[in-house]
Amino acid sequence: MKVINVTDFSEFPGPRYISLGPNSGEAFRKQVLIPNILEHAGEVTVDLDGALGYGSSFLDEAFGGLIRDGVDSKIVLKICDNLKSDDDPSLKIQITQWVKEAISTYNKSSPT
Amino acid sequence: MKKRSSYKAKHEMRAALKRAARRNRSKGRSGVIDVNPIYLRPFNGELKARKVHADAKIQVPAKLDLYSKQNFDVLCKFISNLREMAKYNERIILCFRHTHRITAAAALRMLAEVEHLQTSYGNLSFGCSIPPKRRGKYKNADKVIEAILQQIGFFKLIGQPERAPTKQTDIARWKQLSGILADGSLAGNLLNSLPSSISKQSKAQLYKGAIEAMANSVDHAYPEGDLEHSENRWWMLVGTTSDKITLIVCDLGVGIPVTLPQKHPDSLLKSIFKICGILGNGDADLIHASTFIKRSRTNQTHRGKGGADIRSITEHFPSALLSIRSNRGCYVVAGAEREGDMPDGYRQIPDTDGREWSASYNGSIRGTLIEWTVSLKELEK
Repeated sequence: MKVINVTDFSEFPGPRYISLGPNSGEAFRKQVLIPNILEHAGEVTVDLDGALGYGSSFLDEAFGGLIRDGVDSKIVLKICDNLKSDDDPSLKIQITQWVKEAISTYNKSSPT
Repeated sequence: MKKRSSYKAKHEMRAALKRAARRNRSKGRSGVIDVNPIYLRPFNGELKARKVHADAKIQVPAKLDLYSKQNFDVLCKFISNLREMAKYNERIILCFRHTHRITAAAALRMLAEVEHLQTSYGNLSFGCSIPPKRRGKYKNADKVIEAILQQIGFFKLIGQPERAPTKQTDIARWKQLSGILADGSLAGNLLNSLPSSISKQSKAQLYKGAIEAMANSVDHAYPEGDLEHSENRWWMLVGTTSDKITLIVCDLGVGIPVTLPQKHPDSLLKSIFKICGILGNGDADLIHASTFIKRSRTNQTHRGKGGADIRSITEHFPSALLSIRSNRGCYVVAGAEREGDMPDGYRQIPDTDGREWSASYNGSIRGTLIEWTVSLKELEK
């Protein structure tokens, strides 16, 4: 299982989109999460501890964005299960909820 | 004819130049002027008329403050006048001579305005006159005004020599910065400069609100193609006193009351108004509604989570107070244990247990200011 420390990406996670500022959720997803998911066949643990804090937009874009990018929902839910967030355990619950919302929205909008 | 002394001649000349400068000051655009002979009293000696710059001068309000309704309107008028003067003058002197009180939010708003005008008008420069040191109440015995201006970086911004750092601890703990991107490292370094007694969890909560407020400024406040708002800049100030911490994020965008109806369908706004029991559609009502928006202008349901982060500080810290001022309105939310200290001129919002209130102003702050105040004790938990 590959362990990704968010602090290796940045101690100061930024806004939602790359256009809004550095260390964004979009950049984390595209530059770190997706390449590691592809390389390790989804066997990934994300360690959220150590960063100064997270805006909801960063987390939603990083993890919910995986669903909107077409990553298999089972893989994303597994990543949510494996999340490590001892500093703030509520983050894991929130991220899982947003991922489920993204799955529900994605399923509604995608052609059957 | 008796010759005048050179001292008297110089005095006459100086007086004439002053009269000329005064006369020209009210004629709009200033610049280099020649002394017209009509301003000179009869004088037989040799005179060399020198050129003077007629600087436009604006009086800064005695109380540079936006917490009371009356002071808010005075500040708005000052900002409006300053913008008008910037159109016609190349140099403006801000006169702080009668200013005896500057609050953090108003100081940040003034600083933002000066920087915005400097960016918008390339030839515009600013100067200032500070109050003299005098004894007594409101007499600036401790050079408080100068210390505040130094601490917020005002002198550096207008290119004046910086003053020695203040020894007044409350002011010395003010930290200010600005940027054009939602750069977490800027906010992070500012928060890391806070007292080490503040817990990591508390810093994470403050960071969460700050990064979302910065991102909102960059993303929503400044519409594309708007020449007046060509730069998506935000300003932030953190102040620490012996018992509380104040964090303020400011932008000079079009304001929440303008962006909200543009970015959201009428039906969504109407349903929020109904659920929250909002009766009017003034600026304060629209700011109130904005804190419940979960959907962005693009109708992407995943967006709009930042508003919740901004509000969540009052849920996490029972002593916290959140104030959102935008254009002509203000909306305030207090934490569950915050003692009621509603200022004059504010209206309590029904069915909120006295925890939320709002105010409508005559003047517009021309932008948005989000301010959190949290007790230090609670942040140390």
